[in-house]
Amino acid sequence: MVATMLATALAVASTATAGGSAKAVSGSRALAVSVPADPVPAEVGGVARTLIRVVNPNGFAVTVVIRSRTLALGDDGKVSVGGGPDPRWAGRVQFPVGALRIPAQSYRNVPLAIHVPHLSPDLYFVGFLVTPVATEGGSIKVVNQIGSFLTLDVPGPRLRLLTGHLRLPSFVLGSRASGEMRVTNLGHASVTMWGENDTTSSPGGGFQQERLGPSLLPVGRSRSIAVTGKPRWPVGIVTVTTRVTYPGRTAAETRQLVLTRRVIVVSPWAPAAIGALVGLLLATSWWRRRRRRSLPRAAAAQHA
Amino acid sequence: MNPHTPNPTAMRPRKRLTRLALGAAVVGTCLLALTALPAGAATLTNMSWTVSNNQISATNASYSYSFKTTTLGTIKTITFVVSGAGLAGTPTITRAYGIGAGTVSRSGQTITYTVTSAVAVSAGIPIYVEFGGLTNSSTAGSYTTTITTQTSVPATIDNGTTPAVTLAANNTAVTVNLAKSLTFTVDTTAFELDMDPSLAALADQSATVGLTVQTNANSGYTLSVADNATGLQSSGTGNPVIAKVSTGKATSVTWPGAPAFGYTVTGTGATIDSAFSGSKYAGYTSAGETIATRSGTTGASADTISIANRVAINYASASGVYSDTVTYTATPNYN
Repeated sequence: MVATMLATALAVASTATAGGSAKAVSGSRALAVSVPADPVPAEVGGVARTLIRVVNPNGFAVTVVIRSRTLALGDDGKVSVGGGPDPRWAGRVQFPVGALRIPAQSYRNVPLAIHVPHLSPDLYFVGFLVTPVATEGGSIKVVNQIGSFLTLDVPGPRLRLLTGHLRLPSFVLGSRASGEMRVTNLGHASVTMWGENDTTSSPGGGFQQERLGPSLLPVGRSRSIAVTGKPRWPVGIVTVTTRVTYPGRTAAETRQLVLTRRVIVVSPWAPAAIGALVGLLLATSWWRRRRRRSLPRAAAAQHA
Repeated sequence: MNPHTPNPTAMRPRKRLTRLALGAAVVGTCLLALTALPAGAATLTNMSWTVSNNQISATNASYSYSFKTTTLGTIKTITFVVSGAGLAGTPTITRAYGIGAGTVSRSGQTITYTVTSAVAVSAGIPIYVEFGGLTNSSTAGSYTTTITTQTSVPATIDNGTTPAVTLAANNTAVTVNLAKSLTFTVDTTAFELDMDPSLAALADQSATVGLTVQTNANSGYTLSVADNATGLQSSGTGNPVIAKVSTGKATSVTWPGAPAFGYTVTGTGATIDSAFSGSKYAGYTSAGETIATRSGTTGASADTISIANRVAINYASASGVYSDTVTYTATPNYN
């Protein structure tokens, strides 16, 4: 029998149904990686100490390797891990050399000592990759690895500058005005910004304040924030004011970016309601006129 | 009848109208006068004060204040006078809502927030200010803060006193550090496809790999995929390969038939790359490509992503064992 057997190991292809004979040769594997939520303070020339936690939630032991990796920080918070170690941290941070075995349903805290070079005050990111050692067997292996990063904060005054645009239409046929605020970091240091989206409606007032939590914006990166405003009545002018606040040179001062737009919002059923009202008025007027004309005729007929 | 004498019956509605107009004007003027009167200092409402650490002498404590303005005014400074003595530290502005950009300073028991450009704040506006870097008094007891909004004159616009906060030596300070975490699960760590070109059902097969991602990262995560540079390759003579269905997701295609190796992605929770809409397939790349993202935390429910790996062969495909390693990388986004 000359049969082309691919990825063979099981010679039972003849028993396969129309669905084919895909076979998982090993089961599921979960992995979790945790890092400190806040930046680690890092004095220039000093050693910043922190840790990575690798968690094995499985009912069996898992072996992982941890390696340094470059990071690419994109817009809107996106992060991608590069293919090689980060030269900035070469020799300055020592990840475990060998593989780490993590027992079933357990975790390992991996302490790291980071030697901080001479850097200007800013936030710095130490990228790494936690890769489980691939399972033996099976022709197509599947690896679920986790890329992550530690954030270092080198203290000191910084040059921060944000710019932004508020994109909102000037007229909306709908129940609310929706748009986005795009903020870009043009400064020389990462910025942790926060803000608020204030809307007022005319007529009716109705001040609303929507608070935006802190978010990070690295140098040269942008972030979009959804902005909405709703009039109090079916027809109204909504004034949307977005305020983005961020620290100035030091944390004892703040700067603010204020962007304002006015939007006329008309609910789709408002024109229909007006049309119906006009129609009703016309019909009433027509009926009255008709009645006025028919009354003298009826009186004349009675006299006759 | 004197033709110059006005008709009293005709005059009645006009008089009524005049009286009504006069009455409305008086009421309107009164209301206007009431609202336009220079306001005296009123009491701030909805006042609260929380302290991140209420141990005496605790350093790097955060004081968070929130209140609502009562009077329309142009605020230049807000002073926070903490009762008692012993407040220390160099305050920083951690967050401020409802008020313009500014600076903070401390002198004795008074923390002063100075708005860079005095800003008109209407009545009823909620303001929240959080200061960091403070050191609590070393004396245990009950403390309040008197908050005053002022113009640049300075003249008081509104003021009020917060409910009390107790600083103590015999309490237990609780600090809970929640790590930024991501859990990534794959339901199949290796699979095989037993293929045979003589039967359609065996010559074109798929294996679905299920992934789940769960994270508390505020900006969500990015999921990418890569395979070996050699692709799905046999170790047999000449190292034949089963061609990738496309050079990557940018050139994704509807399934073209044998011979081909590719994948398509579906999922819930995550935003799947549009390259895979309409059940389009792409070939893996060794450099890796982003296939799914999420812009917020997953919360308690994990995102599920299904990767259908599809291989089709024909008699032109050399027999042998073909292998590859597909690597999925999940990375939490920065907040």
